[in-house]
Amino acid sequence: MSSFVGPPPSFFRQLAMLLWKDVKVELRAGEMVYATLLFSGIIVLLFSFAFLGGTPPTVEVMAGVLWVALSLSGMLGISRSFEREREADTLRALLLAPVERSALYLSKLLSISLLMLLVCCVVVPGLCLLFQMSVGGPGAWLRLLGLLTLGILGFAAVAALFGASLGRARVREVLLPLLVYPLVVPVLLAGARGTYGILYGTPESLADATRWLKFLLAFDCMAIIGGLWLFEPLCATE
Amino acid sequence: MTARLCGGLLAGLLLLPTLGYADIPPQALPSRAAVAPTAATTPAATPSAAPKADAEGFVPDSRPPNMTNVEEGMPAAPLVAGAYGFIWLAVLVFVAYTAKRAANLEGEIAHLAERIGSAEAASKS
Amino acid sequence: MTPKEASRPTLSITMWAMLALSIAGMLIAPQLIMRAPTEPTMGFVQRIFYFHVPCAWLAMLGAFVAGIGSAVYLFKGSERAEQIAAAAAELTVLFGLCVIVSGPLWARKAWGVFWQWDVRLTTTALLWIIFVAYLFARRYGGPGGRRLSAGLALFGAADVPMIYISVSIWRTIHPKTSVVPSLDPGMRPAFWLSMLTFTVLFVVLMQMRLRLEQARARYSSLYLQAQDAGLIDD
Repeated sequence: MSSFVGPPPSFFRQLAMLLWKDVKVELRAGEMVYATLLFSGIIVLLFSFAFLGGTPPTVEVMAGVLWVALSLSGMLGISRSFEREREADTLRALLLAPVERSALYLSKLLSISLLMLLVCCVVVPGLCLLFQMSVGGPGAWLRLLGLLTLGILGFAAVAALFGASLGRARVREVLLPLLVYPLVVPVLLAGARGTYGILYGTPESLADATRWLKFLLAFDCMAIIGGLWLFEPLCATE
Repeated sequence: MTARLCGGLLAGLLLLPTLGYADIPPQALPSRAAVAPTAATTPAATPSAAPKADAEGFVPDSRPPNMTNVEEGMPAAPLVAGAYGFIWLAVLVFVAYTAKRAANLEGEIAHLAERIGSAEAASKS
Repeated sequence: MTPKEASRPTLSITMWAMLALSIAGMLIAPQLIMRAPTEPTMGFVQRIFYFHVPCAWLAMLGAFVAGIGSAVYLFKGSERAEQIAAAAAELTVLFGLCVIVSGPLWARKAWGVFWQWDVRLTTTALLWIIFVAYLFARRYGGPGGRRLSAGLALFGAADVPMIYISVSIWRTIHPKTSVVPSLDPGMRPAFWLSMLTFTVLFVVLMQMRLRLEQARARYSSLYLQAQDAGLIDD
């Protein structure tokens, strides 16, 4: 009983609890994560079949394939994750609970980001294996990791906002990609061009990649600010 | 808490220009062949790497593509006529479609109002 | 409520006059455009500029109005603001389409290709797609569709400048905005008449579209009244 008395948990504690809830649900059920990872592997395979037989694709193509595979797989996992929440009505329960809205939004953002980072663990090695993608030294790997992390955060910032506020629209499976993809074009653009610069490996191409990294950082700041402000108005029921 | 988070992110956003965001001006950058192998600190490609170069070499995103080939032989009049024609057509179609929707809706409103008016009159009498 | 009290005309007298004015403008403008001097580099095809640029500006204006209306709707709950945003969004799609069609026709002659991944073209295409998604979400998004679309408009309105900022690091072959202030004196009457005509048209179309939204709201409330009175079966 004593746990119900006293001040509410701090913001970071709430965030940690909500994030751990999502992770725990996934660890127990697991079907969504496995399905998403399998799907991402299949996407990479499909792309490799598309370029079968000819000369190995250029680094520009590899960069594009990386980001398209990431965004398609990510969208599948995100749709499924929110669908499960809608079926169990957990999101409504969380909105009724005395939980900070920003903590709820950030926990969704971070759980989506974790899922997409897992997808990277399949897609990047898959590209290295099937497309002979080579990134170069530790500096290039660090840049690539930074690019992927920032890109994933930007993608997740938009997806978390609209995924949570979709409600029970009949065409919601189509609606989520339709809403999210146009808004994350800057992420895909910066990610693909930055990855191209990293894979190319010359000093000027790496400098180009660094510029895109900074652009992504700016986009992430803007996207998360937008998400934090719009989460409550969008999730409020009519 | 939301306000504090947004404030922090906004500060980060405003700090960005000070990080040398535009420090590399768009200009003709040296070709790949001119890059000396003495740049040992930069992560160079491993010798056994797959071919990295594209057909025209790396084109930095700051350099505009070569688009100076104006099509001399192509007649311009059909293009201009097509552009103007499409814009007029689009505007006309929009006006007609909106007017039609409005007229249909006003008709349905009048019909509903009449039914409600009759029902009210019947209930009063 | 009598049928006459419930109905409203599609446009007020002032707006009919303005519509007539803009139609007259669209008929007179081509004559001025034909009389304007020919641009030396691009030749005759450059005359697309006189309609292309006003359409682009109005598409941006529509997006801006939709963004503001959406913000007021989401944070203040104003239904009227939402109606204004929806009307502006439709006009953004209309004028955006005009830009996306007239631009490539011009580019085919001037650049040799219909499309190039230039920052200005990408921004416009993205803006158009975002507002098409807005209309889709509003129509098919179910009970929360209007909130979703408002969020999209807000995010989109803020998203587009982000791409625009990348002009400092991204290639651009599209003529700069400085072209308009430094326009040849012979081209100015044709350009500014087109600009005025399209702006008047924008205002008229906004008014038309807004009235349609208000008519929908009136229909909804009458429908509920009729349902309460038992006139309509569920």
